Amino acid sequence: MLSSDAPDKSPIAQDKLDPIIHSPARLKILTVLKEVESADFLFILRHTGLTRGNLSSHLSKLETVNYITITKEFVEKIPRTLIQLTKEGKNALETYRQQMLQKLERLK
Amino acid sequence: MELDALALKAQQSFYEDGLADIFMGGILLLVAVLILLISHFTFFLVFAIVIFNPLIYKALIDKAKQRWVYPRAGYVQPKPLHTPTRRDNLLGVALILTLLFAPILILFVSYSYPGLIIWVTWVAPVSLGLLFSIGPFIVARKYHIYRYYLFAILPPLLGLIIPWLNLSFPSIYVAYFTTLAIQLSIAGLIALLSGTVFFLRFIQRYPIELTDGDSTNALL
Repeated sequence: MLSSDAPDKSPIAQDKLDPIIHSPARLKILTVLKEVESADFLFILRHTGLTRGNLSSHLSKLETVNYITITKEFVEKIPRTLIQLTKEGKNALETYRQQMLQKLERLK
Repeated sequence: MELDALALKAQQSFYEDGLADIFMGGILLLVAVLILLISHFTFFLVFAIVIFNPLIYKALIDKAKQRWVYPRAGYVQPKPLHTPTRRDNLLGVALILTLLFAPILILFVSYSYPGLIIWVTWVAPVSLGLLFSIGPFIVARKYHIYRYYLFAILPPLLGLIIPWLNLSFPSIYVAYFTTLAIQLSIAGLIALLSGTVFFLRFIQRYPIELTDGDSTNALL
């Protein structure tokens, strides 16, 4: 079993940037989710400035690679869709951050 | 793409609507009134409020946000500021009890009336004020919400200013509790006013958008 911080869970090779995270829109979504426990669609929409359709499609992509979880619950009969960053998502974002730092360092 | 600004804005969003300020102001005013009433029952209520404050806070804030905030700006569950251990809780309660009952203890243990006056006039108001500064200070420092520095500074600062005013009281105990009540009510009133302003601005800035049903249905 892999440990929670195992970098090889990411679908990318060691030096290649994760194409899932490298998209500005998805990077924004993951950045927002990293700072909170969980949030709903409207919150992420407001903070990323994406359109509803765009956000929905990016969230689906992130869910497919297991970087986020999307769960639906009812609070006082009102539906609420919770979006949460997974451990895989957190690790992938951290790996991406480190790779970017290294790449920028090489530009010096 | 300003990712750091985006991250900070997401962290600050929980305090953006001013409801936390309103709650803090309301609690401080309530505690001030209860202290002024000076009876066994009101003291019991003050302790109950201090001990159960996190639970009351969560229940009331959740309810208010459910009603006014989530339909406008979306739901967010912030990361916990600090998860207190049982030791932290016991230490906090012991500290509050010690500070509140210090005058009685000093009188019974040492019979030192001048020592008691110095404690009541100069030490107690500032130290009790500092207790109420901890929460706002953590919020201000962690999330860079600058108005919380004011909320953190006010209670101990008022604890320094009020004794300078040389107000006359019928007894030392009345002086002790009245000073504390004045301190808390001024700090509470300012938090309440600030919260109201932020809340009204928030309501204006984020009107409820009418969409075709649940906007999140597209995801599922």
